[in-house]
Amino acid sequence: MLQQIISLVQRIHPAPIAEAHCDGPCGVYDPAQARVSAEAVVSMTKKILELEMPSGDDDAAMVAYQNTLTRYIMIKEDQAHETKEHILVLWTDFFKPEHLVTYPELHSIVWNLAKACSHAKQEVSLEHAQEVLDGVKHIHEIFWAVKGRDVKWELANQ
Amino acid sequence: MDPLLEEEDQVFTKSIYGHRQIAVGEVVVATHPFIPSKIIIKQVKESAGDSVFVEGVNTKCSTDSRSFGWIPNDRVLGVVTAIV
Repeated sequence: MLQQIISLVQRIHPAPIAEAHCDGPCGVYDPAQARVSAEAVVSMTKKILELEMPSGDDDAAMVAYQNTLTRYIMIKEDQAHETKEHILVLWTDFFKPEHLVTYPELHSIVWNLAKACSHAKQEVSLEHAQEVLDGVKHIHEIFWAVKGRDVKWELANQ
Repeated sequence: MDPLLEEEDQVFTKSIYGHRQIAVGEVVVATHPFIPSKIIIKQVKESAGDSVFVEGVNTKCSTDSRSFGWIPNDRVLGVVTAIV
């Protein structure tokens, strides 16, 4: 009887879902996700800076230019945001208070990296894009150090 | 939260607004401190009057106050009163 009443209430007014773990697979973290996104930010920033606006009255060339530029900007925006999200997940879900004892600067590193991601979105700045990648490298080093593993920092886009 | 809670269990909660402290051992439903769209369910390990320190039952699998710190009481949506 109680189950029937609950089912009826659920149909009319579904209860929100509360998550017990907050994550997907337990303990599967890797700053490589942030590294790939950060590399994309650097790559897209370079491509935007290198893209030349067509001269003359060639409408088709101008449309192609604007289309390409828009795509580059969108990817840069998305990837900078993804980098930030990946780092924030590591910060909130992976790192524990005991890691802060060894790396008391962790909070400020994450804070500055998240800010750099925002700046990389707001501007077309190779300096900020590189700042994002450098910040992710710093997180990579701390992450693998606390796991007691020596994982080399390698870029996909050399 | 197994064995206390299993996947798709339903719970009733009671709002804490305006009337009482949250006690250690109670299970609370709260909004995630860094991801406001996410609702979490955890057990209270410490209560400081205006905030609570929560952990999952299975600490190896749980993301909780050990990572994101104390949760202010105003983020606690309710205390679990029944599991159905």
